[in-house]
Amino acid sequence: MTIQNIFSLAFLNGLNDMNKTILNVKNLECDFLIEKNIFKENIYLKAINNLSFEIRSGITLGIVGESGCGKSTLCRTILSLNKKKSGTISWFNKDIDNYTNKELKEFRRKVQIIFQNPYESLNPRMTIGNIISEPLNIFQNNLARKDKVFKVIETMQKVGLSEILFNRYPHELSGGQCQRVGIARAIINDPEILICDEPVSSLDLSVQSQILKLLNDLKDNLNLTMIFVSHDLSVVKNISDEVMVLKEGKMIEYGLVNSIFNSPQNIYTKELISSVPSPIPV
Amino acid sequence: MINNNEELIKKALSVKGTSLLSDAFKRLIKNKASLSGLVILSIITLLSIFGPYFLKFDFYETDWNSIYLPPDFESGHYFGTDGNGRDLLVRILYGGRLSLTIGIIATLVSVLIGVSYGTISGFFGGKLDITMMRIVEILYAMPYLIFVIILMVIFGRNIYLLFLAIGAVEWLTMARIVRGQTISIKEKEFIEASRSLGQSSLIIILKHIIPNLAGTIIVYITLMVPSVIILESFLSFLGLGVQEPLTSWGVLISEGSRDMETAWWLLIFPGLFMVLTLASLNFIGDGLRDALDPKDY
Amino acid sequence: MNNILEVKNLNVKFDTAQGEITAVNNISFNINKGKCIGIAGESGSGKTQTFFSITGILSDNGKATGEVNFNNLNLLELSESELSKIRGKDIGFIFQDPMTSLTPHMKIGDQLTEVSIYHEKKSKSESIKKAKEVLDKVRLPRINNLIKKYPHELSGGMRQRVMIGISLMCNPQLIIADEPTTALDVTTQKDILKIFNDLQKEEITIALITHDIGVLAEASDRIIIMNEGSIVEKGKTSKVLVTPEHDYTKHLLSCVPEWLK
Repeated sequence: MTIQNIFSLAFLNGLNDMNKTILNVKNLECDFLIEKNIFKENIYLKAINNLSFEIRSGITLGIVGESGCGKSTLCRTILSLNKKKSGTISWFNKDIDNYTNKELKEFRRKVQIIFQNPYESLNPRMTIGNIISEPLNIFQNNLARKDKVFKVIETMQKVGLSEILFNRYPHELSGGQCQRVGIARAIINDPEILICDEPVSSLDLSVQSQILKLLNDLKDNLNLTMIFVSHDLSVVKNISDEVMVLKEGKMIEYGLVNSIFNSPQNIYTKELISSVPSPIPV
Repeated sequence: MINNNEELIKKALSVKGTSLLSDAFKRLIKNKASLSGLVILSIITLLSIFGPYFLKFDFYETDWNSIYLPPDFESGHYFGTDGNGRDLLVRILYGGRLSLTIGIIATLVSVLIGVSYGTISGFFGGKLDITMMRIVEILYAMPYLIFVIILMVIFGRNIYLLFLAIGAVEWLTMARIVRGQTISIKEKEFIEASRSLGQSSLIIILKHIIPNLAGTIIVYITLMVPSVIILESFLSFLGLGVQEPLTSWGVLISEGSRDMETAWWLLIFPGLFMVLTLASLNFIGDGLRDALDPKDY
Repeated sequence: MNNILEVKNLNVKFDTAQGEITAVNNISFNINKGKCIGIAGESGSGKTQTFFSITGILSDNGKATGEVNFNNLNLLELSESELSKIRGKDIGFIFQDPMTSLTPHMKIGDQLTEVSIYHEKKSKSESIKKAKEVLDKVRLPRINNLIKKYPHELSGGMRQRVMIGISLMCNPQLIIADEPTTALDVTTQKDILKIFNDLQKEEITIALITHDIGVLAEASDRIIIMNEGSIVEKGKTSKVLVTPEHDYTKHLLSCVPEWLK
């Protein structure tokens, strides 16, 4: 550990008292059934293997790893969209298994997710306006229709979408625009935490940088805590405060972004970083 | 400030997008086979509804002096008469009303039942799905005809019973198809997105799954209607269908086939109408399947 | 410098419901023998359609005009049967998605041997021998076992290497690789690029189409930047990426996230 890192960690530990823990994951295990047998035992694949970590408010955690490392499964499991095998997931200091229905509903408003494929994450039969207003219909259904429309347009402008796209369908929009729709849908109810599962991997390079800039701006303007999952290390490096490296469901390394990228400790992390081709030719 | 908002809302709502369905309709029209199918079907439907008013004979009117008359322009019996001296053309048109009505209504009933059953089974999965599908499979295995005969014997030859009997069988196919589609749609990311928003299962089924099934359902409707018409014709052919003097194409074909050697027109003309209708429906169904194929987007 | 491929005034147009769309607009470039040329551009730039038209696999509503000179033949003027003799033999094509480019119901060994049996009329046993050589070249382990497997039993990286192997079966002069590493992990990508490097040492020319600037910087000698159907800049990779001249190139490079300092 460099002197710089020791000071940074101490600073952050000090901040610890100010920044409360939002998510606490302990010994999480998730299995996938890959072979069902009648006469012998079923074969499971360990998607997440004894994972423990925590996230404090205001921090952006980057999760990197290659395919099969469990990062997407992790996103869905902590949101309770997937079943876990064992372990505890505590949001806002309460185990999510113990949440009442009312608390669960409020949880859904506070914690939102953006998906990787911009077209697949939108219902092709719904207009953009309807897609973005769906969260309003769930949480603020008593709003007048006009007010709902206005709130949708306001959110569209926040994410850089023109209001004339209101009645259009996803197939009429570009990949970047669809991803903005997904972001608008996620932020319209003022969430506190945003989980981004490979949000720019399917986009062109110039669109990637626009969406990343948008996410960065929203993070600051809306005071969001973010979990940013990606296999692209350069993208993660530019948006995260802390980084977790996953391999085959296990945590390989965890630390501040600068220490992970400038002085990685684990062999796998080193290999990962050295494999990224540098855009500057030799 | 309020003015600004109003302006903004007006501007946003003014631009309309093109939904997949309207796009599909345009493509359907371009398909020549489907277009001709649509035209022929419309003509037959209109003739069945309005035609009888323009003809001078009634469908139940017997004329013992004109039995088994071949097609004859002068006497007004354009398609000839049957063994009771009844005009064939007007009976075909009346038959059309019945066959088409049964086709549409029985299909709609099966769609309603089949879609509800299939989406619930597919969406919730697990033990519920297994149980529901076992029930469907058992019902499939039952001898349909015996079931219908028993119903007919108990309740008599009632036209509403006919609807019920047909609808009760066709929903099984629809349920299976819908369940399969639901299972594949359920895995899509936008369904996961809705769940992450906290949306209730009922709304997800109604607003997200069913609209995305629309393409499949519409295509199967156009293919199910011919199947229903044939089923009704078969029952009528066996004598289990509608009662005299009401008639359907099935009844006419049944009667016509008995007299086919001496009075060919009694079989050929009803048969022709039936074939044209079924072919049209099939063309429309094929055209719809191509037009609604999302792969082309 | 010896040119293996010379493209002159290539135009590719598509007939669509919205009218005629020009995908590739009058481009010209040369590929030097034994080198690796990178073609960069975003979606819609026309980079893939350029090479689809060169190998004659444009979709039915597409039309290519111009000159594409390969071994003294204008590929655009050849008939489908003449083209199919060159495709797969002298020019190999590696597609983007290894998941969908291999035939799911055929064993790996059969997919490899199919190529040389068709083109070079080799016997089955000769083809199998070549297949094993080729799989070794792409650094796949346990070759005897692998030949009997089906595509779904392999990982993405292994499938992509099999694709490269298939393109090598008939000793091609030119390999066109369309986004060969985009769907793969970073560590697998590194291995694939090493394989490309080895192939160049054997005088095989590589045309590498990708939007990943890092991959281009590492693997290509020369680079072509395409935007909306036209070539906006071309030249030595080290020059174009370090001192770009065209605005679009500068814009593209500015979008690349900052990597290690």
